[in-house]
Amino acid sequence: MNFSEVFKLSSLLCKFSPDGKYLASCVQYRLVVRDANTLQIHQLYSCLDQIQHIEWSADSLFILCALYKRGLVQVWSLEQPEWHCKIDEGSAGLVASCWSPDGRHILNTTEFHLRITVWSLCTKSVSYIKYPKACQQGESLRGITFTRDGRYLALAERRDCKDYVSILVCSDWQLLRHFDTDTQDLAGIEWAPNGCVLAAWDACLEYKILLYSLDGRLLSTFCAYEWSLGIKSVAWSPSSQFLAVGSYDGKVRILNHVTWKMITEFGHPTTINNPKIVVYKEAEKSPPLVLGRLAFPPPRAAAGPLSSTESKYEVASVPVSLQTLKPAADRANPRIGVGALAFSPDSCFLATRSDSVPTAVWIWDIQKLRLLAVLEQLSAVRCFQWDPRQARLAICTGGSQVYLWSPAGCVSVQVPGEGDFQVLSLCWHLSGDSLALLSKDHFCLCFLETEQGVGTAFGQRADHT
Amino acid sequence: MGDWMTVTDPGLSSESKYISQYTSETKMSPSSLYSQQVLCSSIPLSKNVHSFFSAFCTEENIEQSISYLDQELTTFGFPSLYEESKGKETKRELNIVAVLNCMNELLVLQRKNLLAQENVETQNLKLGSDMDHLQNCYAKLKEQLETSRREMVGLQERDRQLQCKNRNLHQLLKNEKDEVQKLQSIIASRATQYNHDMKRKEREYNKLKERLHQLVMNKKDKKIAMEVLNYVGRADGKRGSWRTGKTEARNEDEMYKILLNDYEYRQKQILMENAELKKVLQQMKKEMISLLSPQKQKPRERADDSTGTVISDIEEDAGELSRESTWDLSCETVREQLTNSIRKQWRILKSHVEKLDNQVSKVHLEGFNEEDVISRQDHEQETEKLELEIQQCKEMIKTQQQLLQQLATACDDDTTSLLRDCYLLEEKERLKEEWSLFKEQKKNFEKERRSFTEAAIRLGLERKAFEEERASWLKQQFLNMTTFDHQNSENVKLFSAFSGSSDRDNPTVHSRPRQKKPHGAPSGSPVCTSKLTKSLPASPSTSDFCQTRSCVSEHSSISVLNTTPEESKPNQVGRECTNQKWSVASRPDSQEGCYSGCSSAHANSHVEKDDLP
Repeated sequence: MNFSEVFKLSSLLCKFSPDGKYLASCVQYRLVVRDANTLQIHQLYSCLDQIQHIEWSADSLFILCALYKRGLVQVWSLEQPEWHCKIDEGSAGLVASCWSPDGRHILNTTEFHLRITVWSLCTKSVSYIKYPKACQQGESLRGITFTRDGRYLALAERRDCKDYVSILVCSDWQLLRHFDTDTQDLAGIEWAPNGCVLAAWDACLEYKILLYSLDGRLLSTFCAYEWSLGIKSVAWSPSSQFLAVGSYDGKVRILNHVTWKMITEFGHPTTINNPKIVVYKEAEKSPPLVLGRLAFPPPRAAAGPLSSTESKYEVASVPVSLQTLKPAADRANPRIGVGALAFSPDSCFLATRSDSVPTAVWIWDIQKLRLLAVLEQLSAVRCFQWDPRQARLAICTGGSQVYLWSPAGCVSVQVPGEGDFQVLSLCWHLSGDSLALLSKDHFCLCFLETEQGVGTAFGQRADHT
Repeated sequence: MGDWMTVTDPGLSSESKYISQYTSETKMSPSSLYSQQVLCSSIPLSKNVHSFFSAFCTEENIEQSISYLDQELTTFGFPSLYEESKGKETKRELNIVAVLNCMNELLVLQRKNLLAQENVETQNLKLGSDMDHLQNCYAKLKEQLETSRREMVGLQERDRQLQCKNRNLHQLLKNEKDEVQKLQSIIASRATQYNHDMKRKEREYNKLKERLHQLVMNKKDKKIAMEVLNYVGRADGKRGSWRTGKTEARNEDEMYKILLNDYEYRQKQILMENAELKKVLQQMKKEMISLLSPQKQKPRERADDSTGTVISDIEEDAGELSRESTWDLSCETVREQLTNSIRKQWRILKSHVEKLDNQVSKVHLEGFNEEDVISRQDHEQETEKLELEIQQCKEMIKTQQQLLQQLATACDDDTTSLLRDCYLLEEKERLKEEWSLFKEQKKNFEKERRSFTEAAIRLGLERKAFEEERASWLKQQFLNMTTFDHQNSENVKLFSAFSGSSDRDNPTVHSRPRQKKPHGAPSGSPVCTSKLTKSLPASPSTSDFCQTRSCVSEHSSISVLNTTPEESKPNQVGRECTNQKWSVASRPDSQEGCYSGCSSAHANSHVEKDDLP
């Protein structure tokens, strides 16, 4: 496992191009495009203000930079550095911006969700979509979803206090279907990867998930329980075969694609008794007392005593009880329930995080429908992401380590570099060969060996200082 | 005084006597005051007899005393003390005999009375103690009664309290229920109110949004614009098309196409899955049939009705099987048939297994009853014997292996690889058989070799003769004819010579296939042959065999030499092929093991690594 040098970064804006050739990162108002392998600067663009959001077009030819504060979107071309495009939303404001799958249209959501403006880069035409529903969760728009083939757009709408879903054809922005959903307050919609089924779920006050066919037929509804906080997270398996629904009761329910009934229910118990389940517990590694090391750079560790200490995984013997967080019952958005879900690319594994046990990542075996492993970290898990090529999960907790799990085992790798590198976020390269690690104002690339990568990675693990 | 006595005494004394008797019995009675007085009067009568008598009878009142006593005694029913008087005025005479009789009787009576009194007194004592006891009991019971009464009162009090509490709790519950009801209604009303408010707010919000929209959008906001250096082409290179009804229809078409594709894909998958499952079912059925059919004969002999019908069913099914296997399509009837037959067979299998179980348990029981020890001994002996045998076999194999390895240097690679392959003990039996066969064949070989050598010698002689002949003939020809003709004739001659020899070689040719057989045929697979060679009981014989081969090759004539490589080669090739096949077949197993080993090793190593400092 090799690490690149550290580059500057702001607002955690760092993205690989969809074709995997380039890496775009932002430093204040500058957009830097690097070669993903050599990390040499390929292009450098300057925007008018601090960049708040970037997105690659699907064909990797353009990059969109959104400057929400100014209500501006600037688009840059990779092929023609002199080409530029600036879209001003004016006084309507701007809260979200994204590409259409063809890479020639930009969808801007104005402030207060007044409308969505569709700007075309091919013609001067501008289209408006009215009544978009304001269901945005953090950065991700839960109200707009494109099918994977880029043909259709599903859009959540709200008119006359009722929820609707519009399905539009992306090629000419023509309305294909428009139907109301039987929800109190639609919280999100998501296409199945095969683009034939649309999942729509209600806000957290009610547990309800609805499944619609592409032609607007209601295929099924699922309600696990009533009178309690409902759905918190939803994820489709890459094979479109399963729909995992995480809810506030701390359970993940897996629905199948034939009957749309529940196959199984994964609870997140705080004590693990089954000896078949491997519990990897992160443990602080006591710094090796090598005299030579003590000598020169006098304790930099003093600056960040916790984050700079190395860690390793230990296989804990069952029964293990995990650290739980007592949720504040009198506050909104309590820290309970399954907040994050992700299927591995081969649909064989499911990684989850229960917000009441923020230090643990649970990995479930979908083939056997049982808990396979639990990773208990020292600090709360910030984010995790599967390798797009294989069953390998990268986890970061805001410390200076990056953690990798694969069915073969688990490893904690110290990110080398001057000072602390607190990994707040990470993203995989398309090929799964490298991994971008993002800290508050720096980023670096972590190159994993191909093929026997995991093995060698484990061999070299944590040898860096 | 005497009058008083006479008048009062009879009734009183008797009464007092009774009373005294009674009172002596009931000493403790509270009404003993009177009897005490009576006692005073009666006790002197009984106990202080002498003193009383002394007072009673004096010199002067003898007559009176006697008459008094007479009276007394007569009243008690005793005979009179006086003799029967003859005259009324005459003084009656005292009858001494009567007196004595009376006295005796009185004494007897006295003794009896004393005895009775004693009895009575003891009884009195007993009864007194009984009385004491009963009184104690009574007192105790009274106490108990008192305590239980108190307890009862306490319990009643508690009960009352509890009931009171219960009533309170009921009341509370009711209140709570009411509260809940109220709260629920409040919640419901709040929810409706909230929803209503929300709706109102949302409407307001919508209105505001609308207004804002108008304000922001209709103002001809000059800022809302897009500056593009130049428009870029579409990703697909086409130009945008107009929106018409046609495009709408096309969109619909496409959508349905996508949906259809998806459904088709899913149907295909389901079909595949179904086919797989059906295959498994068929397989299961086949295996069941094959498993159940061997026991067909037995039940038939027994003429067991139920199994008989069942077996006929099996046969039917077996007949159907071939038919069914052709029906790969999903069809209701086929499915039903298949499932039904499988179910049926499953039942049969189950009953069969149960029967077997019963038999086994029966046998076990019998065995335990009769000859447990013996059988166990036998068993142990047998196992010992077998173990010994195994040991011997292993040793033998080891020595053979060594020998073969020594030989292997001489042999080609294929054979060595073959030889290395097999150490299975189970095949020993078979190999022995083959060994005997082999021996026979060896004999044949030797016979053939002899014939070969003979033939070769003969051929050599012939050849020599022929060569001489030819030389002479050539000489002649050379003198007579051209070179061209000479060649022709030579060819012809050669050919004829060859054909002649081949004629003689015919038996060898015939024998060759036979010779080939032991290599490939008898064992069926080269694996076995190699095993055969491996597990030959004695090493010299194998070397013998090799020697014979080499002898054949050395001593045999050219023609034989020509044939051997030709024939042995394909043989070898065949062996190679099968050998490869075999090794491939064996590989998954070994590989799996290897894999598992690897993975476990990997996991281990991983764990170890984790444990590293």
